[in-house]
Amino acid sequence: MLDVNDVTLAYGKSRVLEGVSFPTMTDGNLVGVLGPNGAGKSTFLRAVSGLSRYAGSIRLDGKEVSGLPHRDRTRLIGFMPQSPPILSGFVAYELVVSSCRAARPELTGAQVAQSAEQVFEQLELEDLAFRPLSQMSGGQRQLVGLAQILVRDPQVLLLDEPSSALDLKWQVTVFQILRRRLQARGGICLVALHDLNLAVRYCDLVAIMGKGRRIAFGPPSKALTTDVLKDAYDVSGRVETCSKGQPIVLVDGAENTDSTPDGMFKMVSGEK
Amino acid sequence: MPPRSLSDRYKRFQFRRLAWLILFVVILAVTFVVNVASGPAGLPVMQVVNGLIDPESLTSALHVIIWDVRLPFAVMAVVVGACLGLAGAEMQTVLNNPLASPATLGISYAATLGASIAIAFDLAGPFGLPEDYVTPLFAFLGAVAAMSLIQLLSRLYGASLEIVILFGIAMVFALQALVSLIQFVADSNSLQQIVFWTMGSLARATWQKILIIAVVLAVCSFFSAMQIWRLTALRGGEEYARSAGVQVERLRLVTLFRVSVLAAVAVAFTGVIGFVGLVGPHIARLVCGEDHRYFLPGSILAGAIILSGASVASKSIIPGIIIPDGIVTALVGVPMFLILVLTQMRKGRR
Repeated sequence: MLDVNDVTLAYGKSRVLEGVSFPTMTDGNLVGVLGPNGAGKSTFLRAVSGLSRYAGSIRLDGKEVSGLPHRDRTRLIGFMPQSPPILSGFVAYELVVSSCRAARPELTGAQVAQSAEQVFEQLELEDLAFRPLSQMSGGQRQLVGLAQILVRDPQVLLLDEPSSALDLKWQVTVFQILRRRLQARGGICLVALHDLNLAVRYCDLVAIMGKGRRIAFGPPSKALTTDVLKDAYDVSGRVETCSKGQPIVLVDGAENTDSTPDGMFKMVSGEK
Repeated sequence: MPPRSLSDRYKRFQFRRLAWLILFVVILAVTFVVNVASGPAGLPVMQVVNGLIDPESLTSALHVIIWDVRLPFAVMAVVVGACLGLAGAEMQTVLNNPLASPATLGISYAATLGASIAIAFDLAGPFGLPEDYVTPLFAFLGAVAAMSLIQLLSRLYGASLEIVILFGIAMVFALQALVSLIQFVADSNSLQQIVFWTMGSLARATWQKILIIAVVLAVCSFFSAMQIWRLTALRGGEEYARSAGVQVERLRLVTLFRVSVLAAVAVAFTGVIGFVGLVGPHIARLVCGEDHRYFLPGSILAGAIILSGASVASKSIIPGIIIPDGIVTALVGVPMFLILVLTQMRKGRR
C-alpha cells in the first residue's frame, strides 16, 4: 500500500510540488502519472523513491519512505530515470548485472544471473546482451535502463517516461510486461508518461498533475474528462470508446490553435 | 547444440577480461626484468633472472648492482606506476570524464608547491628532519592540503560534478601561480633543484620509500575493492547509480580522498610524473571494459607497465644518461594517448 499525503517539494525557492495527496494505491495497481511538461511528474516520482527530500508524508506499507534504511529503500523501490543510460563501453548484460550487484548486495551472483536471464528474455534483449551501449539506439538503451530496474525485482516500480524513445510495438509491449509482472508478483507501479492512450488502455488509475498540484485521480475513464484535459493540458478533448470497446483519448485541438469542426487539426498551408 | 545461456556467455566474456589481466601481469614481469637489466652496465636478462631467484649465485659487485641499485629503481617504477594508474582510473570514474587524471584537480601542482617551499626555504634544518624526506613530506602535505580544501569546499557547496571540477580548476591556476612565485624568489641553486624535482625521477628510490608507497597502495586498493560495485554503477551514469542506492556525493568525496593520497604519496617521492594516470586507465578500459573488477586491476597493471617501460626508455635513449622519467612518460604518453583516442573513436564509428 502506498499513501501520499500533502507532499510538498521545493528546489531552492521554487516549489515544484504543492500539497500533493492521493488516495491509497494498493497492491497490483498500475498508476499512470500524467500531466504537461513541468507539472511535477518526475519530481513526484523522485520524492516517492526517496531520492529527493520532501515535506509531508509518503508511506509504503505504513512506513515513511524517507525514514527507511538506505538499503531497504533500494530493495523495495526501483526508480527508472527519464533519460536512458549514458553512452559507455559497458555491454548491456554487464551493466544490468553490475547495477543489481550494487543495489542488492545481499543477492548471490547466481540469483542476479537468474533474474537477469528472465528480464533479458522478457524484453527480448538477448541479441543485444553483449553489445556496448555506445553502439545502441536510444530506444535500445531505454530498454536496458528498464532492465536495470526490473532485475532488482523491487516491490514498487517508479518509471519516468519508460516508453518515450520506444517504437510502437515496444510501447505496448512494455506496458503488457508491467501488467503481467503486477499480476504475477504484486506490488505497485507508477509510470510517468505523456501518451494518454497508453495510460487509458493499461493503467488501473491515473494521477493527473498540473503546476505541482493534483488535478484528478481515479480510473482513467472517470478521471480523464473534457474539463480535466482542458485544465491540465489546455486542450479540448474527450475520452471515447472505439469499435473494439477500448477507451481512446481524442484531442480536438489546443486551446490557442485552430482546429477543424470535425476534430482534425487544420493543415498548415503547404503541408500535404 | 542448445543455445548457450546468457550467464554462460557472460562467464566466457569475463574470462576474456581475466586473460587480459594475466597477459598484463606477464608483460609487467618482462618489463620489470628488462628494467633491472638495463642501465650503464648492461646485464644479460637471464643473469638478472637468476640473480633475482638466487641472490647467493651473484658476485658481490653484481649483487650490489642488481639488489641495491637496479631493483629499488625497478620496484619503485612498479609501485608508483600502479598508484598513478589506480588514482587515474578512480578519478576518471568519479569525475565521469575519461580525460581526468590525478593532475586534473591540481594534486600534482600542490605537491610541486610543497616541494618548492621545502627546497626554496631549506626547511630541512629548522625541523630537524632527515634531508631525504623533507621534500617528499612537504610535497605530500601540499597535495593533502589542496585536496582537503577541495573536499571542504565540496562539502560546503555540494559535491556535484560541476562544483568539484570548478574548485579543481581554480586550484590548478592558483597553485601554478604560487609555484611560479616561489621559483621567482628562489636562488639559482634552489631553482635548479625545483625544476629537476618537477621533471619526476625514479632515481630517488629507497626500500623504505617503496615500503611506504606499497602500504598506501595496498590500503587504498583494499578500500577500492570494498566499493567496486558502487564505482561500477557510478560509471554507468549518475542517475542510474543513485537509483541503485549509490550515495553519489559521498562516494565521490571518499574516492577523491583516496585518489589524493595515492597521487600525493607517489608524486612526493618521485616528483611529477604525468600521463601515467591518464593513459594507464585508457589502455585498461580498452581491453578490460568498464566493470571495475577488471578495470581497476587493469589500470594498476597498465600504470606499472607504462612507468617500467618509461624507466627502460629513460636509461636507453641516451646511453650513459638517465633522462628524468617525467619527461619520458610525457614524450611517450602523448602519441600513445592520441593513438588510443583515435582507435576508440574509430571503434565507436563502426
